[in-house]
Amino acid sequence: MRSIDLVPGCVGLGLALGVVWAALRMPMGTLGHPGAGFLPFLVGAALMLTSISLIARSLLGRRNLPDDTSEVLDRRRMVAVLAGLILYSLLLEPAGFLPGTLLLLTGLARLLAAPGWRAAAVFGVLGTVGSYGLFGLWLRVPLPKGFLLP
Amino acid sequence: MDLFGHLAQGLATAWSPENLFYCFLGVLIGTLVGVLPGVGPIAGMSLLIPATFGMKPTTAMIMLAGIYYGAMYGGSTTSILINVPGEAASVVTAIDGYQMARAGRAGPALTIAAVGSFVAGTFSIVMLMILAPPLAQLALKVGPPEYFALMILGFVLLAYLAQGSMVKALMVAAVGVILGTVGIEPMSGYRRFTFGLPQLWEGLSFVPVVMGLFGLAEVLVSVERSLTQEVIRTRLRDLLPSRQEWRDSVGAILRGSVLGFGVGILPGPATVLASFSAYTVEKRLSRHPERFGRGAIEGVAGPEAANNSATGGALVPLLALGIPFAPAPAVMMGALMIHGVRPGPMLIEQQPDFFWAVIVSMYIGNAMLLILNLPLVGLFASLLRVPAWYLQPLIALFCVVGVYSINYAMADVWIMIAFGLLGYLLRHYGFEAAPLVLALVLGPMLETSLRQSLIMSRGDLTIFITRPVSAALLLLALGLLVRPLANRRGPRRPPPNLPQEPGCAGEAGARSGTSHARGSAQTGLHFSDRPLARGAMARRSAGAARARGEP
Repeated sequence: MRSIDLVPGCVGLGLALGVVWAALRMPMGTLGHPGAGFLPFLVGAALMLTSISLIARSLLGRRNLPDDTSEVLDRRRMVAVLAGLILYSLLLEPAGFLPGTLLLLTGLARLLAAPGWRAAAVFGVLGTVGSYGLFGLWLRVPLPKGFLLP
Repeated sequence: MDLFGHLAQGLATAWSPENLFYCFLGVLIGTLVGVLPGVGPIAGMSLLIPATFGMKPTTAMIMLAGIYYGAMYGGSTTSILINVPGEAASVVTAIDGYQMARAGRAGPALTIAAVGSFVAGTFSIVMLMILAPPLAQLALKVGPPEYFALMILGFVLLAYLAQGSMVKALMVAAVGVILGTVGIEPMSGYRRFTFGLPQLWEGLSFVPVVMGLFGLAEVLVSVERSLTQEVIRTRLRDLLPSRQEWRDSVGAILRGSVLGFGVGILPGPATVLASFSAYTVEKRLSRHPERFGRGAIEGVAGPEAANNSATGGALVPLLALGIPFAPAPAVMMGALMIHGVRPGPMLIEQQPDFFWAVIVSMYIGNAMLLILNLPLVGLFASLLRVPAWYLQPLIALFCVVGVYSINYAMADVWIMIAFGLLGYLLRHYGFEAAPLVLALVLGPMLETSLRQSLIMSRGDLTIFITRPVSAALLLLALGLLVRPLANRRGPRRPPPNLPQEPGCAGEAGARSGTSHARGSAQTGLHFSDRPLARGAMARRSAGAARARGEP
């Protein structure tokens, strides 16, 4: 029976092959004067061995315990948070810190079960002002101004 | 200069208003990250690294160390009051601490945990102060082959002691070393794994990687779950333990202090192993082991003392050898290197002011923690009622803005997001992220010592086995690598006598177990960084998986 280890085992093996291939294209040097590719080659080979071991164990049927299977996970929330952060990162420089952060915090709070849009918006405003105070004023980080501010 | 001269020098630096303030801030934040389930000391330190950039290195280290040992104090609060450990090192405290709370003895359990933490924390600082300087002197006398062998042993021990699969831990460590090679190779100037991106020429930035793996990944894991817990209320006047409880705790605190420091020095998730070991020792030494799991105060005192003492022990290899053996000191080392401070044997000699100021600040911080934790325990516990939808968006925001503030570069933000996703996937597939961070920090040092060794020996690989110290270290590493295979062929042994999960701890545990297991997973409770699955407790300790012959 295949366990959940098969996927990471295959990914690890693919990564190891890529590293070994890239290392072989680097100057390998000699044992007395190891080159840039020496350590990546060794570690790539070690990764290959451990990945093969994981794949073998997975195919031989040793099932490992998955994360708590009795629990219902809402993976959509994780995907939405990740998508929100990616969108925020894309908008941060063109739109600026203040509007971007307000949208991010309000949206995430609503998504993560804030009781209504009003509570989420209040949290968004307070969080934006607080984080601007912390990063922009206290730590003096030159936060992106965007098109709204001069 | 003698010991007292050094201490006076350290006190002069640590006692400055600025350092006192950041020491207080560090222990306060540490207590908070300890209290809040799902945010451990590694995530706490990672999130705060960007805030240290405007500080002097000594001040930054004082604050980061404060977060590290402060988290050990805070972790016990949630273990005792809601049966959900705030961080992994306090898992064992929940077994008896929560049963005491159910019996109306939450106050004494919290007091003993705080006093035990204080005594053990102070003991570990004294030991750190005594051991680190001579160890640093000794380290100056060993060469690159010994350093190389020590780092290999460190990796193997970390994998050996890791929760779950050793193979997985080794894979993650290998990926960490490979990531450490990204950038321009210092000897030849060759660009490794940069894919034509100038942003990668100087290597992968440490902060985005750590904030992604521990900060953002934590948010991604925790938003999948929701947690509601009833907090047991406690009042200040209920805090005092009885005379019998004091008597029962004294020995456990002293034993936990010594054991925790010893375990802390070794590679691996020091604080967690220390608390588990202390619990096992206390149960074995007790005349009434049947009380354990039903509210034995020794089951709170020993582990809480041990996990605090382990923080001091874990700083010994970092400050004396420049080799962090555990993930949290690795994060500290990464932060210090950003500040231009290179921990290692020369540090104590060349920058005594730094070393002794950090030591003295730890004494001060421990005293602050004792004062903070006893009267304010109710306040900290009330933080658990703060809805998660406040905390998670703010942590996500801090990850993005914190990383952006390093170089004002969006490239760092994208790296952080990528490693956040990687951290999430690692947890999903049952891998620990901690070996990756350790390997990322140690990888370049490993390459340097390997190269120096081979240049010294003109390419003769036997240099590693002809020098007695490196040979012994490598032999030990090899033994640990092959031991699981040998065990698998031999007769199966039962796992060592480990404390049981609260969910399995007898009748009382049966009542509370479901909530604990759910809470653990929901809150991303970690051995070092990975959510603990129900039933994983038995595998959590070092030898258990290995004793069953599982590589």
